[in-house]
Amino acid sequence: MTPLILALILGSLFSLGTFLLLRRDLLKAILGVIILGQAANVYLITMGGISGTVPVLSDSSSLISITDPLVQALVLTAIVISLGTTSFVLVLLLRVYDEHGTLDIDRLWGQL
Amino acid sequence: MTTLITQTAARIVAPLIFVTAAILFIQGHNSIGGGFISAVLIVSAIALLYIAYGTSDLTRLLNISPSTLNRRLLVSGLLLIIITGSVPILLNMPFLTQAFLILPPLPFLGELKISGAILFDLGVLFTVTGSLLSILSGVSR
Amino acid sequence: MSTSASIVSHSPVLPLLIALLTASLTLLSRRSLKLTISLSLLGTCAYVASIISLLFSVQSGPLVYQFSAWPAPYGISFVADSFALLLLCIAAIVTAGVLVYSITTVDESKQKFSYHSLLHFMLFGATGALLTGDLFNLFVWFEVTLMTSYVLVTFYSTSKQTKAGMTYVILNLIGGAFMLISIGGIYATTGTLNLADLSHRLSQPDLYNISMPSVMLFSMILFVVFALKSGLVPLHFWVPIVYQAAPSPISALLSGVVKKVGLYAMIRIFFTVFPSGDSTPLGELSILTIFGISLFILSAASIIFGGISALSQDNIDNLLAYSSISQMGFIMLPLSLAALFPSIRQMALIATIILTLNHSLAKASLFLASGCIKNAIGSANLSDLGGLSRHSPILSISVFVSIFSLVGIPPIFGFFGKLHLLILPLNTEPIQTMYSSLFILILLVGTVLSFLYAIHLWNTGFWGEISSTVSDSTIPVQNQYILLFFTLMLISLGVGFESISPLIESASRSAIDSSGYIEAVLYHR
Repeated sequence: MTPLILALILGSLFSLGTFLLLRRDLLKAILGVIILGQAANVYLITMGGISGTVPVLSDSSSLISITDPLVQALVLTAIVISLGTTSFVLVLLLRVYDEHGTLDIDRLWGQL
Repeated sequence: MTTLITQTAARIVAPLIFVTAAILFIQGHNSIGGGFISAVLIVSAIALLYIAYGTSDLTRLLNISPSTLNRRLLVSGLLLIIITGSVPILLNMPFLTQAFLILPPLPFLGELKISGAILFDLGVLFTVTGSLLSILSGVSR
Repeated sequence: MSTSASIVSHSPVLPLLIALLTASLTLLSRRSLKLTISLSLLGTCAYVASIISLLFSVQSGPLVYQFSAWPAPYGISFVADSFALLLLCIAAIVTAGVLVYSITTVDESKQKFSYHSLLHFMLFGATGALLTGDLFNLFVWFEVTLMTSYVLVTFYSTSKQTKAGMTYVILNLIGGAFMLISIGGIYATTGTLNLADLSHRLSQPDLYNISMPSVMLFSMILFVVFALKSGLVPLHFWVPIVYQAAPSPISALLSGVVKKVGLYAMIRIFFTVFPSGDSTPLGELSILTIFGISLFILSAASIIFGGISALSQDNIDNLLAYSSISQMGFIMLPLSLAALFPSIRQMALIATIILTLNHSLAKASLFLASGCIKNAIGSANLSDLGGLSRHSPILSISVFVSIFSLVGIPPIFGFFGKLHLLILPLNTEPIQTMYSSLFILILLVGTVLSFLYAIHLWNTGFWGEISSTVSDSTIPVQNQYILLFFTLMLISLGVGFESISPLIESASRSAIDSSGYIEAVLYHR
């Protein structure tokens, strides 16, 4: 059951990200990129398995079905990185708006 | 947003957030929490205060310009990280090696394990607070 | 343990600490520009010294450093081998040159505003990316390097820079997401992220229950990400936009440091990690075969496309950007042969390494020269220039040497790269004639194209009558000395090639030595 739900969530996140990325509005495109990044994080979580119990407990009987803690550490790191890049890209978006007065991709890049 | 309701609420909520941040920071080594998450909480509390009171009042209160404060926080955090990480090198152990100390049980917090990494985490807290605050001041206009 | 032993054992982490410390301290000293500059220069000198001493100490074998003393497959390892350090050495030299150039050309207020700190953070990220022995850690260092490059590309935040910066950031964010996906997939299929352990497990896929087709899929996603970062042809479109918009010293850094980090990761993963799994029977389709064939096509396309596009450019930065695409093709082309034919792998890597070093130095010098021209004349369009060779001889000599080093004219360093490329298919080992003839054909066409664009640049910009815009301006001499440094370096590396070739040879050996890498990391030999 859970794998199916996760697969659906992942699929919809990726498709939402891709859909937004193809919009004409730069803000939406950036939101799309951010959602793609988050989808990659969710995907990374699923790579460690999600059905097990808490790792590293004294009770050794549950050793067989523990969830891999490493991916969660990885995702924490990836979230911190995406926090930094997201804030940078949003500030850059503000600068683009200041410089060009528009966030329409066609008008920004059409006149190259 | 500088209404009386927001200001009163902020005055009550902000200290609560700070306390939560402190608890998360201390228990961070072996449980949920840590430098990053408590820094995010601290910044959210400060953002709340900014919203309630405006940036100028807080600047006057702290008697230091936000950009200087943020940069100092950031750099001191980074230096703390470097120094804490490098102490093991002087003791001929690899960079970032940690030692720990188990404290006797304390009221409310229970048994605590204080490790060398907590100083490193403090560095993370400073760095993240500094950088997030400078991002905030960058986007606020 | 004796004291001297402890100093040696910490040396792989030293460059990292120096770069981080310098970056933090230069951030702090905003009051006095002199203090910032001297701290920055001091840090750079210390960094270069630590890298060079490390480079000579790893000639006997890689040095492994385990963070926090966690043993190898669990903790994060740093592996300092001669391949990584040779590239790092060039990155450090290019950064040092750019830094010296920036002191006299970048506005004082901007220099106070964290410029030096960002340069050192970039060096910090590059150091980590080149030394790390962990796949996820590699991703993190990539992001550190890229994040500083985002800020540096948009440093003046002019209208052109914000737009180009946006393209650059969005592309790299998407690339980062895909890299994360592929890393997650590799972890799920192999159960490890440590590069040495990964290589070890891939050599016995049945024992560790690894499904090779999925590894192949994820390795191809990684390949696409690295191709994006190094600007190979179908993913090249960001290169001219970004190089033209970024400040010239930053363009020099992008081509000399950031792109090389992507190249390093590609070589490390496809030639140190994956070959051990390549012996397993998978029919015709092994990871390296697919990698080799796709890389051959991409790099051939880059050489031809970049060369032809460079011919028609009027803006110097655009010309250099397209030349950069073509040169990345030249750097990657031997790698494709190396992937397909294991017997010539080391020779091909020698060619790649020489071309990489040559490209970093020559492009740094050319971009800095373009910066000088832009600062003094206000335009980098070849149609506005003319007669620069009589107007400013030092600048012209360095441009001449650098651009013809890219072409590969004999006494200069680039010649040896082209020479090694050319003797590659003529090697005693039989190579399928289709590949060798195609290879030589592409090589010749590419070289002719690069010769033509070099001539185009030289004839229109530097020879002929001094144009009115040129004669009205003077290029400050102090900005040109650093160009002379790169030029002398290119010539002396070319003339004294014999003395540097052992370093290059040991670098190429360590790049393809999977078993040595595994043993050093997992068994501490």
